[in-house]
Amino acid sequence: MEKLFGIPMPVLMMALSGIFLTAMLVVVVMALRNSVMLKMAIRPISRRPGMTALIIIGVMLSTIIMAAAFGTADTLTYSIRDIAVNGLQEIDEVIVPARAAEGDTFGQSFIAMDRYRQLQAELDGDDRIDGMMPQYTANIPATNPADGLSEGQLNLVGVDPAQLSGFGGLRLAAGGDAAVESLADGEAFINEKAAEELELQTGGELELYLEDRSVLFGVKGVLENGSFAGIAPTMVLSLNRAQELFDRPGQISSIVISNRGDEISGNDLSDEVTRDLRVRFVDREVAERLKVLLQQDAFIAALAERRDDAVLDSREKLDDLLAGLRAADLTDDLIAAFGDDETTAVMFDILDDEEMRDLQREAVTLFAELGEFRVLSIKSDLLRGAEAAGTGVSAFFLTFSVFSIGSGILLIFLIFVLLAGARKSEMGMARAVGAKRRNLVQMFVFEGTAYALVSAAIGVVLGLGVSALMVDILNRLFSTFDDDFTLQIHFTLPTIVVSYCLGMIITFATVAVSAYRVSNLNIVAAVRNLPESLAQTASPRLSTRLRGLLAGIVRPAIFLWRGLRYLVKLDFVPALIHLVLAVLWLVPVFWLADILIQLFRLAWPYLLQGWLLILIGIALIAASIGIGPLQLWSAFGGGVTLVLAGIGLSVRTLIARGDMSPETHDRAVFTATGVAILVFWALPGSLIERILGEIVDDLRGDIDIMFVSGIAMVGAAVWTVMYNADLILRALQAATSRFRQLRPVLVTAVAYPLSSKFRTGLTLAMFALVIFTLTIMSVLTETFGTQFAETRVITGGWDIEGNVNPTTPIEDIRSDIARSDHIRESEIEAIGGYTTIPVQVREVEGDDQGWSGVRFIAADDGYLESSSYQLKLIAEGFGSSTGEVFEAMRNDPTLVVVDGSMLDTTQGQGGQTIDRVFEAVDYDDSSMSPFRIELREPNTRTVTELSVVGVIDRVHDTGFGIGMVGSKSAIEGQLPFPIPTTTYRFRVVHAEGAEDIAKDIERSFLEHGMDTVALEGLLDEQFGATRAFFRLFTGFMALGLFVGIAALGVVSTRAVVERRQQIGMLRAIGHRRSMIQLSFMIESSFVAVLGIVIGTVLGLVLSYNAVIDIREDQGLDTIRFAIPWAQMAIILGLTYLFSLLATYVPARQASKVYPAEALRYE
Amino acid sequence: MSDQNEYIVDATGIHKTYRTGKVTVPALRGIDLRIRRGEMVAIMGPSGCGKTTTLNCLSGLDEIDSGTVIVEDQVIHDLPDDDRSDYRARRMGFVFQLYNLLPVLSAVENVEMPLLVSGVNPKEARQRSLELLDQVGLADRTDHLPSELSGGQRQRVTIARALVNHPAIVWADEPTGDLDSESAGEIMELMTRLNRDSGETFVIVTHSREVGEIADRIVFMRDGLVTDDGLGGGD
Repeated sequence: MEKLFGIPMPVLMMALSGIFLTAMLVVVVMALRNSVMLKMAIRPISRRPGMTALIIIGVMLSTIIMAAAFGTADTLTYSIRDIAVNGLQEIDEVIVPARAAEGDTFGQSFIAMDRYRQLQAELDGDDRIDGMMPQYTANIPATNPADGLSEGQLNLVGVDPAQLSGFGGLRLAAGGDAAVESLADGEAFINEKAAEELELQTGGELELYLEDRSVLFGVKGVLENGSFAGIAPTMVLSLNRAQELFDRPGQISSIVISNRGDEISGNDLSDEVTRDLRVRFVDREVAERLKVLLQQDAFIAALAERRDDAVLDSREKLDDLLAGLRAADLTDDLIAAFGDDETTAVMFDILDDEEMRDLQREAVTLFAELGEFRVLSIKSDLLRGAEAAGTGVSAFFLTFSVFSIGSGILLIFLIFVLLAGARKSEMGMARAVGAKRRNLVQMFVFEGTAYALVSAAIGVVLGLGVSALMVDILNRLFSTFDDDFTLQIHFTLPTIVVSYCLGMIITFATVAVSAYRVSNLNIVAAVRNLPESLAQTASPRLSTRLRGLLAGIVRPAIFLWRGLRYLVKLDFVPALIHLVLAVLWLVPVFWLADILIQLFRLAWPYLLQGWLLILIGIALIAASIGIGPLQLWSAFGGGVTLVLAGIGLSVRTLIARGDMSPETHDRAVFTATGVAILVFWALPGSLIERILGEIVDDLRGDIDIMFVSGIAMVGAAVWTVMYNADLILRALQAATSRFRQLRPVLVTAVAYPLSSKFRTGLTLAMFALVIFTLTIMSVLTETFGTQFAETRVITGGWDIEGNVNPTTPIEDIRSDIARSDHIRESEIEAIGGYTTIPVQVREVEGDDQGWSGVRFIAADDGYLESSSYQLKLIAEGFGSSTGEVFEAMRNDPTLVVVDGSMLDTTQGQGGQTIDRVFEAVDYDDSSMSPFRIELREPNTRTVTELSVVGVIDRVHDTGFGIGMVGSKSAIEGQLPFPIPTTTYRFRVVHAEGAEDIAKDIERSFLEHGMDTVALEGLLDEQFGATRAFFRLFTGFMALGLFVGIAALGVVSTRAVVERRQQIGMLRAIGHRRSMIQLSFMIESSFVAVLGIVIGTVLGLVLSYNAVIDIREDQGLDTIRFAIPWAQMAIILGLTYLFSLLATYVPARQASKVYPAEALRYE
Repeated sequence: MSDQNEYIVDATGIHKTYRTGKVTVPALRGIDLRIRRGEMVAIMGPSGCGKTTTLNCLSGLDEIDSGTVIVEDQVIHDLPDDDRSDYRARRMGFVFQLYNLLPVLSAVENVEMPLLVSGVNPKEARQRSLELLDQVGLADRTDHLPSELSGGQRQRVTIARALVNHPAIVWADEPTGDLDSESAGEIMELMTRLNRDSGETFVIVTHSREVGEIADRIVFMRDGLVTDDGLGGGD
């Protein structure tokens, strides 16, 4: 993994290490100056090994989760990098033709050898390039005639032996160099992959199927995979022989470049070499015209805006582009930017705006004329892709683990509050004899640091262990699909250091905050062990709070001033501490956090009164609706939640002035508020949209909804339950009234958790939040699986798909099948064929006249006749069934149907908007009229006018994106070469025999490179793998449950100590040991079960709403809300079981408390 | 009435030694003590003489090293732990210096706990507990949590809890130790009244001479031995 949150890992490692070391330095200096507090902090650790172990487990959970996420990302990045580096070896860039030309074929364009030689001469003196290879490549079907094994897509690579040295040569798998120049006619090398697939060895024979004949080759040797031998099945021969074979003398497919240096260091020059080559191939005059065209203020302003929003890599490229456009002369940087795919995409996106239509038209023409070649920085792109994949994975894991990590932090807080409780009288005594509050803070910081240092280390090791386990499972999961790609466990030093420092710093910060909180005690109450509530002090005055805020704002200056003052007094240690703190506070995170805390303290009394909460809520709502800057469901929902909570608190403030007891009005108000918030979030979004209409129409919903709703719903539910738990107790008592022995156990088991609302509420919330996320994840995975139930519906009535090599198309598949020995014609009910072609379209009468790229399914008559796609809409005048529409399309090639994605504006990954293509009809409409569109073939730029007469139902989008379907005749005339049929679909009489027939078809068309797949099996496999991945991911998220379980263990262990005397008393008045143990177990069960129930119910409600909204918004009628009962039962059952186990030991300890001893001591 | 039935508690030769690591502390060094039914006995002596240990050993809260404790014809230390717990629930009540109420339960819930443990019907348990609280003068404090009561009131709740199941014997360890003199007087008056009215046996460990004077008999202890059992016996 290269980056985290956009920051390069080495930089993050240095920064976090710096913060970590500084924090440790401060702690060490404080410890040296205050050894008494250090002793008070450290001694209890060794005296209670059990509790210490439990605390370390609790504290390290967040670190485990983070380390597991980072470790998995590291492994993914490394594995993809490994493929890039080993697969390409010294190959860095590839030069390909920019345009299709006369003489080209479908999917293949050529470069003349003369042009190559000219380039070779031009680049001869460039010391950044140490290899240049003219290459002829083709993709052809091949077989091993000895045993009939076939490979439909064998890469044939023709290389110039004289140039191989610049690429490190080719090596034989058996050892030694492979000499391509020594190959005789009819001889070739194959790579290890081809040898494996075709079971061929040196001396074996290979049959290639060309367009009009087959050719036999003897295998001269087996090459190591990589470089020109590639990683897919490949055969290598000399360039001349390859040209002869395909009858293309003097023509090559591409020019391959190797940069100076080895396979890794060569990539360092890639940006520079790519840029210079692009500059070289560009027509400067066209580039100048393009520059002048794009120098318009509106374009530059839009570009500058994109630049500000872009991620770091893209930002640098856009900076070059902006500088070039603003410069007086045409710069090389600008030319390079014009040739870069990423910047070009950004420019076209900007130009695809209503106000820039004219600009766009001219720009498209100029871009097409810009250069004769495209330079692909393939290794650099792959390595960037590897980094992006790693970063994406870590972001994905971290996003979904937010609740778990958050719960982990709450647990650390809870642990330290409990530890403080245990040492309350000791702390009171320390204060009584003159210790300052900051000494108590120091004491806890010392203790916390000791725990954090150990637990973060163990956490990193265990987290990487979890990651290794997940990688192993993932490898097994995906081995059925692609045995070439194996994740290789790999962890980097920055990941280990960042995981450790992050875990350590989070723990340290939480400990510091907890320490500050718990050190605020009333000395008398602490010494006498009285409840703090009896010694509550009034909140600080407004002026004090304002001073606090001011101090927060100028904190670095305060530290600096104090540091200098100590320095003047020659008191070096405090001077050093304050100077370090002054520097530390200049880190924005600390400074900002300080100011926010002071701001929060300033606002706290008003937040409690409710009115400020209402105002903040209204501000959030206002920002989310209309033209507000936050058009998000989460912001709107968050605003409503705050308003409801604010109203509740305001009412409480008002009625508190009356005669009602605090318990009664708190209960009434908090219950009403909690229920109101729950009801709001439980309403389906579509219902709120119907009620509020246009106000919420434009609101966007994304993953953030889960976080906001999770916190709001779980918070409200816990709030409501905690204030009404006596009703639960009564219900429990009523339910167990027959078992009188249970009653006294039940009374204490429920009374204790209810008496510590903070502790219980926190533990409950930890459980509920994690279960909430797990439930949503489980239910949505299952629900999306339901749409795979009707395979034949999804596939448009087809059972088998077969793809043939475009270089060896099938002339007439139907007669070939009739003649085939392998296939019984009667088993096949229908055959259809098509070719997928990327095209550009726009609506003739649409407001938006920009071209949009879509896929055109150029179908033959058989496909149009036998496809049974469901049409969501059929244009007036074209009948009422799919059959009628497709028949019309057969008869009139200007008619097409489109899929739903072209009629809606949707949100792509990363939140960017994918604009709708056509405006004439909405997917949700109940009727449509035909509308005219223009279709442009991107290479030849010829335009054809077509009519859209139907909309394909979204059910077919699953796993097989559709695009636009029309007759092949519609586009056939637009290309300078014939369009071969590349994909065939077959419907069989008996669907259950599809797998066997698919194999028979593949065998019959070996020479065409036919590769078949039974669609039902494919869908099952695809969904199976997706489901398996999500189950694994659910397992990862379930790590968060250990936080709740550990919390129960910690709370129970602490309870045994706290209630020793009470346990003694209960034993004295007749409680048996088993009753004490049962009471503790029920107490934990009460919290665990309530947490499980709250999390599950709320998760089910939210996912049910999500399913309804998805069905309505996306028009996916086939998905059904489905609960994976078995999976849920396992998750919830195991959670409960582990909760019991975590409580078992403390419960057993409690039952062994000896009454006489317990009663003797306070 | 036979000798055996006259004495509700008959302890002979009780030895008890505490061992903490390498340190052994002999707490009781051969105690003989008999307590009559309905009697209010005060056990007095200097700190560390073994008063509380005696109470714990006689009531079955603590194990003994040797000797015999018979309570109501039962050899109490021979009973399995569960049977001893049941016996305490049905036949004994306890009052301690620090009240030892369950802080999370209200006064009435604390009082009814021994009844619930004995399997009494919850409604009946609640009724009896309310009656007892009325008897100890806390009819208007039944739903208060212990933290909402004064020291004297808490001790009354403790006494109500000790008596709610009509025990044969009530063990009280320094019941007035944590109270001011006025509250202490009230508590002793209450215990005397209940002893007189209900005929239950009270064994009270105390430092207080005033408490001793109210009792029917005072047992003096020193260094783990009974020096005067108030019946003319002792070492």
